[in-house]
Amino acid sequence: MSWLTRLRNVFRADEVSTEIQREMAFHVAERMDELIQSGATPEAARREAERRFGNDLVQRQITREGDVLVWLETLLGDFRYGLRGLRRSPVFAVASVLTLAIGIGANTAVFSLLHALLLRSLPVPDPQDLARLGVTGIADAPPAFVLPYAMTQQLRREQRSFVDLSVWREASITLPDPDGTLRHYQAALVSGNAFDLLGARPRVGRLINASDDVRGGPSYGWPVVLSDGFWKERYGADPRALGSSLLVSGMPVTVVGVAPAAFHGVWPGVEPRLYLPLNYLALLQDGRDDLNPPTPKSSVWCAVIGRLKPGVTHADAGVELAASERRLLDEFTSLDFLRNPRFANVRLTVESARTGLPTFFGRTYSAPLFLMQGLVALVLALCCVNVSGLMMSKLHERQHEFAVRTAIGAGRSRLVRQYLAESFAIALAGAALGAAVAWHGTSLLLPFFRHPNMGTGLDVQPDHTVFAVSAGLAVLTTLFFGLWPAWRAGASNPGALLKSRLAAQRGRSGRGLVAIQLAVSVMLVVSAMLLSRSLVRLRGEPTGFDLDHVTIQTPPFNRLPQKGAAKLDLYQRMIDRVAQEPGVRSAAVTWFTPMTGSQVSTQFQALGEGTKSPEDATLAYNAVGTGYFRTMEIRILAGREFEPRERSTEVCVLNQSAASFLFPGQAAVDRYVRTVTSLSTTRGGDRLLAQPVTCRVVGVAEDAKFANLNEPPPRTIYFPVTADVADGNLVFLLNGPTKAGVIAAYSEALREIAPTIPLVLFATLREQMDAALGSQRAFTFLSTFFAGVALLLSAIGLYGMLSSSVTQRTGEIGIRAALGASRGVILRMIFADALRLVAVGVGLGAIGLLFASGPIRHMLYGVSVFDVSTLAATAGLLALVVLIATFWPARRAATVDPMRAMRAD
Amino acid sequence: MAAVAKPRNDILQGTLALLVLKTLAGGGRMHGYAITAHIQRVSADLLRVEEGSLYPALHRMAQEGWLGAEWGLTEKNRQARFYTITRAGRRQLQLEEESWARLCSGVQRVLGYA
Repeated sequence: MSWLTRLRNVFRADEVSTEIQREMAFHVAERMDELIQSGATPEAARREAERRFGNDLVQRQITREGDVLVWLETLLGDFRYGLRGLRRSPVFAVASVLTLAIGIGANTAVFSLLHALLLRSLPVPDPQDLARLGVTGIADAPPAFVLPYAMTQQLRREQRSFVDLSVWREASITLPDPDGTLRHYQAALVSGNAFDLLGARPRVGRLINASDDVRGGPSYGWPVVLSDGFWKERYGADPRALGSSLLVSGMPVTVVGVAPAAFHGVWPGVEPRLYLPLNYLALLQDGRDDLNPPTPKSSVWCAVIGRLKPGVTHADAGVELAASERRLLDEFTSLDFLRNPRFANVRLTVESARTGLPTFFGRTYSAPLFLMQGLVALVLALCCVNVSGLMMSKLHERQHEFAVRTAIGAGRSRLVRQYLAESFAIALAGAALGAAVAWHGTSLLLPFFRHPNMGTGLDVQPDHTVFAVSAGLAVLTTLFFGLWPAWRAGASNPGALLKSRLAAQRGRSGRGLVAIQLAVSVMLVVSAMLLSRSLVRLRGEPTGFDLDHVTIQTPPFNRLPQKGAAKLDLYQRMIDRVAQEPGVRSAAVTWFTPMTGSQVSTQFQALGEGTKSPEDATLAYNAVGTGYFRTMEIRILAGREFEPRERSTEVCVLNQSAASFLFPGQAAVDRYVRTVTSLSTTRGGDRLLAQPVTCRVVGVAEDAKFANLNEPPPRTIYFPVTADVADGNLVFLLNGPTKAGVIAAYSEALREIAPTIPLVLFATLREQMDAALGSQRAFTFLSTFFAGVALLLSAIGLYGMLSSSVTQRTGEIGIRAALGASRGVILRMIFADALRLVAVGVGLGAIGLLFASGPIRHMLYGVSVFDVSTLAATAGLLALVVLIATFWPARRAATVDPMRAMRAD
Repeated sequence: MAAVAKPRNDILQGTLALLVLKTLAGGGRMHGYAITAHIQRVSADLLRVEEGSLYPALHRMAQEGWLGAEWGLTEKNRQARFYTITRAGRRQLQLEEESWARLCSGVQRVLGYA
């Protein structure tokens, strides 16, 4: 019968059987007629007619033999058989499913993060045609994808490679919470053509357009476009949000639309909550219009995204740009920029902006994320190895069963099919659970990847492709390790196997797998220990100041009418008032907050008779108010702190390392330090050192860390807060026993002195530091978790391997026992077996560590990769795990009854 | 796998198709009951068709393309499925007749030799 007919029968199976039944009914009727004619009663005739037909059921069976349905039913039966098999060994099933779930889930979660941060295309039409423009060739720095605004406008007019160029700028704005507390949000300022150029369509309402982006704002007032997330969070996705008003950094703007749900801005990892016209920048800078400055050389630097014309490549555009770059740079960059040797070899560059613009965030997290990806890939490999190991050891137990079944006539394909069905059930369950792990894992990981100063950061959905790939990989592994042994079992000679269980091969490949598992665990455990120790060391590292009792508050005092000296007076009044409250020990203001990851530095030199400064010193600098050192609990070693009347850069305080560098072996107090004028700072809008300064040292302070925890304290020079600096927003540092007490004291003072200013979210220096340590913490957390998983997996693997080995060797052990081997001898035999494996595993792991030490070293702080105590601790931990995994199989071996063991065969 | 019930057959295994084809080759259009009756009558009650296996066999033969089948009314006005032999059926008949002849002569020789 042809396959086609069989297949047709599947669909007309019912038709066939009813046809036959009708025919049979006819036949019975005819037969009855005949029998009645020859004198039988109708009753007897029916019985006879049906008897001649035989059993009705039998008929149906025969006709359905040709059905594909039967074949399908057999398959289903295999599957059910497989499931039953799993129910018989639930530990095996649960261990395999969990193992797969962890491997698949962790891989998907981490890769989704990596993908969202570094690899994902912008969700707009033809993202490959987008281009980012910037400068390259900066000494010791990656290319910066920003250009002076005035240059971008000139480029728009003269370029021929792009459909158009648009301008983007990040901005941090404040919005009041419903209770009035101000919160910082990430916003994007965009040129009027930015959304059009990307090809983004509004979710609701409209996006920013050309008529919105005009100097001083459009006649209908400043518009704002919400991100989809913000719209849901703040308005519950209510379309009536359109037309409502928001107080963006204190100024009212009107909601005109919502950005597409999938669109998270052009900076991966830093999602703007609001989109405002680029010209809104002036309002955020107290009216200073950096887009249209008095001279074209001093316009603000912004990110540029262009869309290539059809047929033009990024290289073509680069060539066009290179032709005019000298003229453009000369015309639109400041003299400071042009003269600075760091920028001597700067050139304009064009790159694909398929993934958007590079961010500080992406640069900071890419290395740890790639490392983490490597780690979870390793764990996935380990999971696959473990599952296959489990399957192999299970197979050894079932070899006897297979042999019996082969002997009584089960076909090889049938055996393989049943075994495959079992593997498939495991793989399927593992993948399903893995999806759940991925979904939860991603949201679990996200908090570690928050921008320190922002409420929200990355938007990450588990990546479907990645899930499919890792699940596919795991399923294939499982199926392969299910198929291969079953195939071998089918091929083996049942007679030989049946004769003696001793004939079952010892799983050489199984032992190899266990050794590999141990090796990977060793690597993971060592790295996890090293990382946790660095983290502990980092967090415990003396910073030079009090982390737990200093609370930070940055109120928007720029909204107050006071300027200059009056503003400084206001800050001083706040400080004095707050310090009177019982909950506050001390308070001060500062320009830069420590531990935020940013600091400024420039060249200084010592001045004065007899002092030979060895060379110009690069000093980090900051402006701090009266009481700063007392508040931060940084000791003054010589001289004094600043006094309230000191409000200019005529005086300064050095930290210890700066003092001993500039004035080696001498007292620094009352000596003079000045900036090196030829190398003035290049930061636009530096309010502190706009002019060259010469200052008298009034004090020397103890060293303290500045930007980062993992860098040693830089040589630092402190200046008093000047009127220029105070025109920006200063940071209040409030030292008190409890955060709540400090908040109450500050709020009270604010109500008296500046009642119009809202509260901003409070954070202690410790909280700020932990946010900055996000990736370090995430990585440590994850590697510890995975190391635990790996250890558990190898323990299971070792246990399974030894346990099945003891089962296989029962006869041998029985003989040994019968020949007089004591329990101790047998125990030693099993332990020696385990230890040989451990030795191989540890050796392999050590080799692996040698290779991995390079990337790990970057993540370490204060511990070496080959830290003796860590290695010793790992060895101890491993020994403990091995001991536990070996104990039960060994005990079982030691209690083998020689008589019973030998009779069994 | 569904157990294949071995029909207890009064007709030698494998000859049912031959008999059906031969019957239809001479008699034109017949239903199952008539085929049974014809075989029984022509063989003078020596051969009896196992009725349970006839209909599945007829279906299989129709699927192989040896028989044509259609529903129709009998002279007693009953619904019945009428079978005719096809061109492929006649070829098959020829093959089966030849192999039957070979089998018979083989068996004859064995019997004669003994």
